[in-house]
Amino acid sequence: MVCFSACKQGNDSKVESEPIVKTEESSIEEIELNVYNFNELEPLLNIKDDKIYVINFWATWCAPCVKELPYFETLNETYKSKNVEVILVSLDFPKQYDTKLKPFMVKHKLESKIVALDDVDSNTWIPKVDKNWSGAIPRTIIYNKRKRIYFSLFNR
Amino acid sequence: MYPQFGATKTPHIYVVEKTEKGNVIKYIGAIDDNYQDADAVKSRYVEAAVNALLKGQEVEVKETKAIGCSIKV
Repeated sequence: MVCFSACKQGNDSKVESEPIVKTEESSIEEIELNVYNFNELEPLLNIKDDKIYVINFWATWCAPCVKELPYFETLNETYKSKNVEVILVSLDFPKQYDTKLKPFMVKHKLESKIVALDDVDSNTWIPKVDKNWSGAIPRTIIYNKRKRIYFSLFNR
Repeated sequence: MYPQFGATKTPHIYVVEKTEKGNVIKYIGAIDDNYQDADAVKSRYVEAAVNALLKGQEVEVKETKAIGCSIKV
């Protein structure tokens, strides 16, 4: 019992000395992140309304993806009032959502809609997105109800 | 890797067999079917490919698709 209260005391004083860190940690856990498996994500790739959808597959561990992100942010900002919706699909590892992905979203103030895809059976779902896709990211799909175009860094 | 085999991303495994005509690619793709949890792996693609080749058999699954980062070429 004595030990317990002593430890508690120690924790309390630590919180007091680092109030800023504490605030940041709790706010990152509070950030909402929609996590889908592929079946749940698939409808977002096939919306048949009057909008144009820009779907970008990326991850914080993918340097070329991170390099591209500002352009998608600009696209979102410029065209969101013109019937264009940007959706950033993160392929970050689930155990890094709180440690990598969410802090990244905060740091870069990402405004586009972000969802996370958590589906280990990539050999099954990758061809469903695009039969010509090897799984290399970044990968982008631009579609509306009539047409669908695929983009990647090296056209693969 | 890219100039010789066309590797486009990481991780991207190639199993190559040395033959009289030169090196022949026998498998391209992921190591196994679960990149998050080694205990939940059901198919070990690379292991199966290597074992098949060691027995002189055809590789059953020759290609799998996995998420990886594009390599600058």
